[in-house]
Amino acid sequence: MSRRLGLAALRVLQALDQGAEYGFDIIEATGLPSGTVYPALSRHEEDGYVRSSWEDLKTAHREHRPPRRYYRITPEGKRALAAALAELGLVRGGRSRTARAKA
Amino acid sequence: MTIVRVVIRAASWLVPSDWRDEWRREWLGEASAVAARGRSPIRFALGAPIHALALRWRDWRPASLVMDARFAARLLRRQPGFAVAAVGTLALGTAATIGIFSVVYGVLLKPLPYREPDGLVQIWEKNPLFGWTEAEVAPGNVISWRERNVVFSGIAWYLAGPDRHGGLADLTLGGDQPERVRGLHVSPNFFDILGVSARIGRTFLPGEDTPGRHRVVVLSDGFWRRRFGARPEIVGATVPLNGRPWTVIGVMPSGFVFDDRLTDLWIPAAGVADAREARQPHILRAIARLAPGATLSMAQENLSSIARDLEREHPETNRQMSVGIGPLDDWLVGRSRRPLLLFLAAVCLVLLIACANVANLLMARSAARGRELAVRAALGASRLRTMRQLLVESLVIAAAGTGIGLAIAATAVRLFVAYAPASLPRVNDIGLHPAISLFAIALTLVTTMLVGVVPAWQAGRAEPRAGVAEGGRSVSASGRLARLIVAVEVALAVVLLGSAAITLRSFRALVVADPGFEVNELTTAQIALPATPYSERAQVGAFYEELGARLRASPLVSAAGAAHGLPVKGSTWTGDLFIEGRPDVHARNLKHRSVTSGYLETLGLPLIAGRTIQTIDRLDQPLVVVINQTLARQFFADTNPVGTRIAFDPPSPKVRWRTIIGIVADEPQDGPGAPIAPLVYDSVSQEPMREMAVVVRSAAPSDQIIRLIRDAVRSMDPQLALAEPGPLTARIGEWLAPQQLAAALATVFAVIGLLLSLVGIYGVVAYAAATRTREVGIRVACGATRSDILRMLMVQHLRMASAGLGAGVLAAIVAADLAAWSLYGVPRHDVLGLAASSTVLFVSAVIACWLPARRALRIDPVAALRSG
Repeated sequence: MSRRLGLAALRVLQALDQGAEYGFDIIEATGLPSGTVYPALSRHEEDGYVRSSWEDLKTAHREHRPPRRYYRITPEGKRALAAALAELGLVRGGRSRTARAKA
Repeated sequence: MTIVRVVIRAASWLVPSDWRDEWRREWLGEASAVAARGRSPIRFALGAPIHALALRWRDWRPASLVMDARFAARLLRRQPGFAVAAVGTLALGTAATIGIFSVVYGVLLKPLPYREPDGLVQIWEKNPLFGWTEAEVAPGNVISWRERNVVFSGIAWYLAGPDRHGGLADLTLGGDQPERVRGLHVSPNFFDILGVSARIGRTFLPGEDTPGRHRVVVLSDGFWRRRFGARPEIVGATVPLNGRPWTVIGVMPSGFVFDDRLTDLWIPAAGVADAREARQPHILRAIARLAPGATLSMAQENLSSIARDLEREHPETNRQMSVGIGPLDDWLVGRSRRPLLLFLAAVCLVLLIACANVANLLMARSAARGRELAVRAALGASRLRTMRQLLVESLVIAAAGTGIGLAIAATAVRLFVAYAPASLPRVNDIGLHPAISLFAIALTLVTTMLVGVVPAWQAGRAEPRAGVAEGGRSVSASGRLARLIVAVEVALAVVLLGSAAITLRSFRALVVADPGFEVNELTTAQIALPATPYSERAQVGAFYEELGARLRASPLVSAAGAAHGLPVKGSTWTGDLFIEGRPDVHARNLKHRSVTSGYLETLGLPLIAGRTIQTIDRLDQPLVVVINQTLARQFFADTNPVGTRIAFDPPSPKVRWRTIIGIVADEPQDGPGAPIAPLVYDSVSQEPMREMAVVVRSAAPSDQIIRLIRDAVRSMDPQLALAEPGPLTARIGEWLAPQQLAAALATVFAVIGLLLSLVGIYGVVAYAAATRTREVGIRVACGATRSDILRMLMVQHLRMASAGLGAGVLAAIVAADLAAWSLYGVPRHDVLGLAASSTVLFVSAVIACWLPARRALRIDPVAALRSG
């Protein structure tokens, strides 16, 4: 079921598309507060735009930090992102640009 | 970091339990990463509660509720027996509640259908000297209020009638078919004060109550349709009213009612505005509209100050005369408030019983669904999630029950409006208004909580492992809780039964109340003589005496006469009482009734002493009165009053003394069962009254006697019409209609309450018997006898039912106190009624326990043990 993406949700999806992987990473990439990013991630996951998995414990131990939950955009998420960007007029010649890049 | 951890851990409790651990791990992990990178972990952690709330909301948002509701509906379809029992029970309870609430809303809560009804007030006079608390007002006084007040934008008046009502004048509308119509005399600004305009034409103009200009009439919508076929051209035309031409100036909108829905038309109260100095008699009722910014207390203060001035200026008429004021809606419906609220309380009890039943059914069902609930819990469904699912199921049942209840109530309310007693005000406003739908929605939610919370709480406590391992049998509804619910049901049913018993006994006492004479074979009809051509006092008495004589001449008639007002419930005028030679006696509010010769004989009231009114007691003869037994007892305890002279004005050389010529047995004056007051019978020839009720005693059918009366009246004056002809028993039936309705409703509610509580007991015992099959098997195998098993299954439940019975009896005693004012001829604490109700309930409870317990005895112990 596709739904209309809000600007914050769009930026979270876009950040994932551009390589951000975990919560704080996405916060850094988007500049959005944690209270916006995490609800958007949960919603995207529920809609099937994003999938998440826990990092291997050994890797985390090796790097002396707690394990991370990694998020990945799904093909369906990519389609929704493209459609939303197209609707906003931000897609030219099949290439997407971020709002920031355009500015 | 400590604060950050506290915030995250606290917020995690908002997260649905199946995600909670992961959620906490992620947030705590990221928070430490944030801190490691030198950013503010506190700022980061502030998002945690927001995320937790978002997840919680996701669990409760409409889409998932709809899914739960669909699941609930599927479950109900799979268990039609359960669905019918639960939905049907709630439908009964909600139908009764919605029905009575519709009446309460229409009569008590809905704003009056006038412009800005909150600003409308009723004004009355009070006088401790005469014991007046809500007395009619005198024309001179109301005119003084109108001129001197600073708190009203206007004061209007109308002619007063019996009790708090307006006095509907009986008028004769002439034409080919003369018809008696009911009109209210009002001041010209009456409709302006109410803020209602005519639908066609206009209402009265200032000055149209001046004698000579006053022959204008405003019709009610119903009368206009019935009599004039809704012809608009009737406005401007003249109609013959009481033998004179009156101009129809307007028709009021449909639905416009003031005080009495039977009002056919309104006419100006001619001459009242000129009666500036008439500070008695008190014949008017006054309404007013508060000026902008004025309050009720300001108005009360202002009127009281005017009343004190009037007392100083007119000490002879206004001594201790003060003024009362209150909202108009309170005045019009105040008397109905208490009985209606009591009925609402009664149906709420019925609804509570219904809810208790369904709650028990749901508990039993969730126990039977133990395995399913345990599996849900094992799969990670939180306790809240399970409770929500069960509450949604309750909501579906409650919504279906309320929906069907609403449909039943719609029909019941239509029937109620058609057969409502005439004394119930604002009947036209009763119906299923939009507000009732809101009430139904609120009722659905309340019912959901009542039926759903306890079973959902019970089911929420399910231990997943135990439930799955033991095939779901461990998640059982608490038997103790179920029995407690049954005890509450029984208590509520006792209150309903006890109230119904006392109401029925009171009604029966009214029905069999001895009026002091034989009411069967009496036929009555009312006649009003117009001022033209009956302008002379002597003409009025002569007409009724002649009518009586003509009726008595018929071989069908054994006795006939006429009186001012109907027997048993006559409207009478009141005056003072002075007794010659006894200056110490000055009684007030002495009731009068003008009668023709033959009236007392027609009723068959026993003559205690002297003689009755006869044809010789004409205007030109010495004034005479007959007194009732109560008057004789109260004022002439030791002496024979026959021959004593009494007066209605203070003794003076000009006073007209009247000789007591006889004493008759008491005749009820205010309806069956009402207390009897001292009463004086005057001769209609000496105290003429234009409006009289003809009373005929005959063994012939009432219809035949009505024809006889109509022919006799027409033979004397073809322009006269009869009003309300019929047997006296029918009139008495109408007066008893409110009590009859009360008794009928109380009985219906009690029967529903009894049946529902019995079904409840049956259900709980049946469920207990079914779930204890294995235990019964073991006990039988160990040598328990049939009676041991019966005792085991019945005693626990009967003990709780008995506790409920005891609590119910106490509650019924309190309830009887609340309703004591409406009772007649039964002691306030009706021991007999309560004992009978308790016995009925207990015996029924024993049967309701015994039937399912007996079934448990048929259990084959071997099969029961094997199946366990």
